[in-house]
Amino acid sequence: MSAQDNLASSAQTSQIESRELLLEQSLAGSVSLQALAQVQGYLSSNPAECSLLVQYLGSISGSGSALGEDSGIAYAANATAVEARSASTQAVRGDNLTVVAPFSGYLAGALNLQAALSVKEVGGGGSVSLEKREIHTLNLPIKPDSASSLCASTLDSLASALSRSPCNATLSEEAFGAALPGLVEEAAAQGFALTAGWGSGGTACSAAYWVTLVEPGVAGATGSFDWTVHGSGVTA
Amino acid sequence: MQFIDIAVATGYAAVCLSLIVLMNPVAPRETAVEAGAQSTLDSAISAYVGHVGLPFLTTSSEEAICLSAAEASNATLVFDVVVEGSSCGSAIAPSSPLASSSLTLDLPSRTLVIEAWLVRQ
Repeated sequence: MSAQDNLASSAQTSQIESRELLLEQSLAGSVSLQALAQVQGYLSSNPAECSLLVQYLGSISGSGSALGEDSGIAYAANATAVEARSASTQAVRGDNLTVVAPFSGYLAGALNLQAALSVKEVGGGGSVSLEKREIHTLNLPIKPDSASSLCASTLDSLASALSRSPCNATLSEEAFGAALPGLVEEAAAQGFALTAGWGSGGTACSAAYWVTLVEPGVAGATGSFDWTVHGSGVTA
Repeated sequence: MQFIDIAVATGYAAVCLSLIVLMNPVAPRETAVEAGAQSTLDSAISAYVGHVGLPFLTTSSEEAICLSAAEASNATLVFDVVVEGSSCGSAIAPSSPLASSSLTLDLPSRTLVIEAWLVRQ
């Protein structure tokens, strides 16, 4: 083989490698985005219960996959994302999956996800291959910590207001009406729309109360969505 | 005799031409140049995708995506993006490009194709 043949051969190998790198970047990004889209779909169509928020977040998962061939390169990629229970030092420092920014990396107070990502590519008739297995941190900017504390404080306030005159519906209504504007304001300050109501608790003099918190227009990976949290209680 | 001379000369010419074709030093060089141009284009597509990000390509309007493709183009490099089969009207494929490349992205809500050409100077 002449020097020129070698030049042509190494140029072609280099071309396959650069194509594989391009594919790796786009595949890693698109399957991660698919996983984020699944999680986002779950969040927008399944309201959370205040008392079960930890379980709700813990049960969330999303996945994405891609399989095919491009320019003579066979590829397979997949990503599976679950809630990241704690922020690793590496995650806090940043994540190099910048192609899905701003949804890559750790975001304080948001839903952080740990994504297991794998990409495998084989080109050049099997001579040029690329394989990656990595863990990445992704995020969706809902505010579960704020929702949890807001829900707890709102339910406490409503219970307190409705317990002052337990057997007098008129006074209870007044107390509820007096407490509500402050609660709505506090929720709005944290980016939530709050609605609440109350009624008979089913037993003599007890009252049932409930609250709905909606975080509207969360900027998700596939567009904006609303996230809803419900809470309820009964006075003794 | 003249016929044999012509036949021998033709045969000799054919052998020489075959040797020239087989040993042509230009062919591997051209292959290397084409491969290099292709790599350049793939790197350019990678840089474009890395710059705008996949969330942008997933959620933005066609107009915004076309504007980003126009901004990424220059005198030697032309980008076009085909969103759900509809291409940016402003980007015109050069008639005789040095190289062309494309990347298909299967995003959660849409499929789009990024096309790029290296323009011959």
